[in-house]
Amino acid sequence: MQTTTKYQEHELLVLIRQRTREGFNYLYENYSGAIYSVILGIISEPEQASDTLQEVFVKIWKQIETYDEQKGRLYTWMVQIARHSSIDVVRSKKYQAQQQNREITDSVYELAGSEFNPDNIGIRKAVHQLKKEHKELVDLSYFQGYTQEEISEMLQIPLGTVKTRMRSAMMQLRKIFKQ
Amino acid sequence: MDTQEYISSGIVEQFVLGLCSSEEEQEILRLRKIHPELNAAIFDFELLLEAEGQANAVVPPPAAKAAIFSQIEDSFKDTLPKIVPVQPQEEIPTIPGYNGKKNNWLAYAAAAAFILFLANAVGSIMLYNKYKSVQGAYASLQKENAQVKLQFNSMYADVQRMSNKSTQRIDMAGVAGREESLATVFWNRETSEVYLFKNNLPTPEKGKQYQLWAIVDGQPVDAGMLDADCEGLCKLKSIPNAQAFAITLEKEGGSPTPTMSEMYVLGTT
Repeated sequence: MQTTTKYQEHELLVLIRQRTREGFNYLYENYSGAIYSVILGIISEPEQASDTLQEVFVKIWKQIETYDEQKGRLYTWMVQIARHSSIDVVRSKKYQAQQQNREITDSVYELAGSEFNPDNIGIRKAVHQLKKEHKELVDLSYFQGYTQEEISEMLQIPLGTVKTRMRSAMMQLRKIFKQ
Repeated sequence: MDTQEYISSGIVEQFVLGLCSSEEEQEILRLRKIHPELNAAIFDFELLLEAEGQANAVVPPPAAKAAIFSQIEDSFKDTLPKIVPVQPQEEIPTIPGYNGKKNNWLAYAAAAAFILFLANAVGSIMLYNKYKSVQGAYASLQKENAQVKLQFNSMYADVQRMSNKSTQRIDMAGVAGREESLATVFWNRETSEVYLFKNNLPTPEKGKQYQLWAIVDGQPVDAGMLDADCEGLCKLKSIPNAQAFAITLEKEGGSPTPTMSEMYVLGTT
């Protein structure tokens, strides 16, 4: 049965909280593309990204009770789940090992001119337009999940500078989004 | 703190993207409760982020959807009943008086009935879901309705009291320096009941309470305390006889004699 109904976010939430297939199907059809793009921004390898997408949507379905609409939109909440799950995958030993193997294969593809460029995907595309110092910061925090303290140590710059730079990176990012 | 400056500092974006330290997050969560414009800015950026995300969506491989659904299949509450194929019977029973060929209409009728049954089942399930969500909305409306009824009844009782032919209305105007204050006493001379309506009195500070006084032969007589949470007509102490009524602000619980410097309104009967 094909559904063409359009739901408002609060209506969709009712359907999901009642655990209906229709609700989940709508959620997937409407958000999987945007969420997949968030994941691809962190995990560039499509097969791994697709596995993570599965994990993320199963998590969304199982944890929907913990979502509180007072704290933000459903999409914002789902993006956080996607981002954290993806960062966990990238940090796992298994992924690290696969990446090392892949580097050899990748260079072959690159020679053939079919390289996959994550800078063309989603939020990465916007971040790519930032100044170098801002890009570095967003990359470490948003895509790699480091805290401001950790970044301050890694880059050997004072925490205060990290905070100021972060804020100005955010303002630049907003401008790019608005274009 | 300048809210506008805070809003445009980049903290909103940092918060929505989940990049705040826990102190920064605590701060913005606290501030959004008291500054609606901050809350609106957060919401705006969430919308912007969502629009950006949708504009850059990448369609995932179709296999992913099937894999997800197979993992959570059992948790759906609206799953349609599985259609079990009907086993063909070895021999179609014949009705005496008809030959085999003419019996076809029976098979067609059965098929039609079965299709109708399925369509009905699907419809029922959809209706049931709709019913469930309407039921929730109905319960909250009922609750609201009961509250409104209660308010209406108490207002109706107030109107009855005010319009009683034995009820005298005494307008108490603000005294010098407190001209904007206003209160009204509805005094039933037959039953001595006194009702007070707070038209306009400043909210008393903590530990203070308004006290009504009846002036009887030049002497102030305590006519009761005005509860802070009383709305509409508030019943105070019964007064059989009075030439005037006045309100002073006293310590919580009241005073034996009025503090004249704290008089707000006064009106003669």
